[in-house]
Amino acid sequence: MRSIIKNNLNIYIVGIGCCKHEIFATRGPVYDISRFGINFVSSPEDADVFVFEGFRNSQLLTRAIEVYEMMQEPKWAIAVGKCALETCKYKGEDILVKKFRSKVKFDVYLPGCPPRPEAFIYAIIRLLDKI
Amino acid sequence: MMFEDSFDKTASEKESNYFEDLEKNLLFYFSDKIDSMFKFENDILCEVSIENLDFILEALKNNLVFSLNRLNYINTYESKKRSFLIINLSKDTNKNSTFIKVRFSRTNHEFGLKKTFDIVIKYFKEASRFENNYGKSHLLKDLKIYDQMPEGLDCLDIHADIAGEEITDIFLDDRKAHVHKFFDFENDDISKIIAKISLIDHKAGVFPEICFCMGIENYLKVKIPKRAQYIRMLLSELYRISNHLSYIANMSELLDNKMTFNLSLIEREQIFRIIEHITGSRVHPNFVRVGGVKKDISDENIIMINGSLVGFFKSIRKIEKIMLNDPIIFKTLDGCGNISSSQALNMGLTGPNLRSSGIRYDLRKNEKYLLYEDIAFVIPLGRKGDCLDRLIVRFKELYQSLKIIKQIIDKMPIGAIQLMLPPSELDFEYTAHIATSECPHGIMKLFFELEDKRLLAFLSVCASKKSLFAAEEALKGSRFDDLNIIIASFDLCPSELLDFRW
Repeated sequence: MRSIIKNNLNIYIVGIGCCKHEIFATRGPVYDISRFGINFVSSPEDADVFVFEGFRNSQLLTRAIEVYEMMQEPKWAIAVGKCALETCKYKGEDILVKKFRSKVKFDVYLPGCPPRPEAFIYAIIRLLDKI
Repeated sequence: MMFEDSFDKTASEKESNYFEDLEKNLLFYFSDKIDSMFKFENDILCEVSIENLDFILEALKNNLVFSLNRLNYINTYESKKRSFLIINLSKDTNKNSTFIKVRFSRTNHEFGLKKTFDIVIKYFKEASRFENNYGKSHLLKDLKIYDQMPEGLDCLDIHADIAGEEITDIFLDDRKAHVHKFFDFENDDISKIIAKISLIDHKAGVFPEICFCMGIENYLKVKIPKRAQYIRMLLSELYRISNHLSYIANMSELLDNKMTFNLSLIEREQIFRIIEHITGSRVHPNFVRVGGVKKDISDENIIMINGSLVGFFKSIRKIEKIMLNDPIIFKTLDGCGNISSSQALNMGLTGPNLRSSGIRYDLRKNEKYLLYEDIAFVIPLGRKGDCLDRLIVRFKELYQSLKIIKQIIDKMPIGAIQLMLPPSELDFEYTAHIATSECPHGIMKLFFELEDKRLLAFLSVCASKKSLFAAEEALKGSRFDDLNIIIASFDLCPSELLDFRW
């Protein structure tokens, strides 16, 4: 099962911000992330990897938790960019942020504001090694 | 006067007379009701108390001398431990707008805010959309679509009522994008603020920087070196091209045209490579400084840009041919999501979305903005204001941007790139500023208050909010299948919808 997922990894992105701009650049022929078998999907049920990036407010965090819970096992998570890392690690002590931290277990943290497309590909390769 | 005439260059003198008279009329009519008034390049800021707001709003809307009948923006902010409400009204587009700053007591904050909003809603019904009044989302039950992958649709939840294939009523919920006070500017000096400010428009990061620095320069009344102005223009056009290419890639993806999607992303990467050579960064350039720019542009960069211009032109022509010669794409976009010229003006649209409806208004041409008066270029216009026109206008703007870049490189003057204005030595008394710039999505206005070396308050009035309301109008009566294409055709920038204030 894992080998099937490894060769056909579906990614669902949650969040708005400049990181998404750079992640989408990897879909072009210059970076061509699809050569690693990576697809971007629009429904959480089909996704294997949860990518969290960008700014947050209470609505977005609630949606992120919903999406992560809707994803089926086995699932992995990546936090991309400075804003997401602050949410996952340092900033915000309200109930919702604590709930988010306890529910979502991140496998890879990718720093940068925003990280370059090459960095995102590197994070995906590291994740593939884990799988 | 026809709508079109009012935006032609022939009528611009009348417009400037109106702006000069506006200040005199405001002082004449409300001399005892306005506490203080400041005039900026294109805007007027009036400070009033909550008791006089009702009287002033009624006069501004109904008195023919003012005719300020369009609400562009309304938001609250805090400064010096006091709460304020800012209202932006204008006559036609965002051009020559009037900002009204209302202060209300901090002790009874909630009551004061509610009372002030009620007064504004009495005269401008659209204010309810800015008040987080989202009751309508519960009424529309036929269809609910959560955020989707393509850019511009990722920040929206769609609630709609449909009859057969037709959308009868729609509500685009952008609450997910309402992020306040996420970034802390409290202990930052101006150089650190410039480094962060490009987050407001991540698709074209240089524009907020230019806008912010121009606001401070206008206050200091300093003249920027010509070479620095030219470098700013060059970067503006490069970012405009990258934004429009990203828009074309987005549209191609929604129209299932993989070839143009790939071709436009290849060109965009090349543009980013040039930007990276000049600024050292792709998305957030952190390149513009108060009094000039950070770094000079080298001869190597100029040769690189000059060498790639013909290639860009050919590739964009190729993408345009593939997209517009495809009968399926043409039929899908033609007559889809129409916005007429009068509708566009009434809704306060700006930028390419306004121009695609046939209104000739561009800050670069109609006002004194950077040194665009030295450069010959045409403002591309659409006819019907449908999705096809919005796409064609952007293609035409790409050609014009390449033409502008060619002229900038040919005319690039020799000289200094920065005035000696170190940020550590800039010291301000308490002042409010409003600055304007023409970004690829429309007109961007920044309102900020400075004291000493600190930023007290910051609000951004961006074009995407207006484009969102226009998208709602365009979607009513459209086919359900065209929903995503119509929303994407307005080029919504998620970070412009952030409702960013500090």
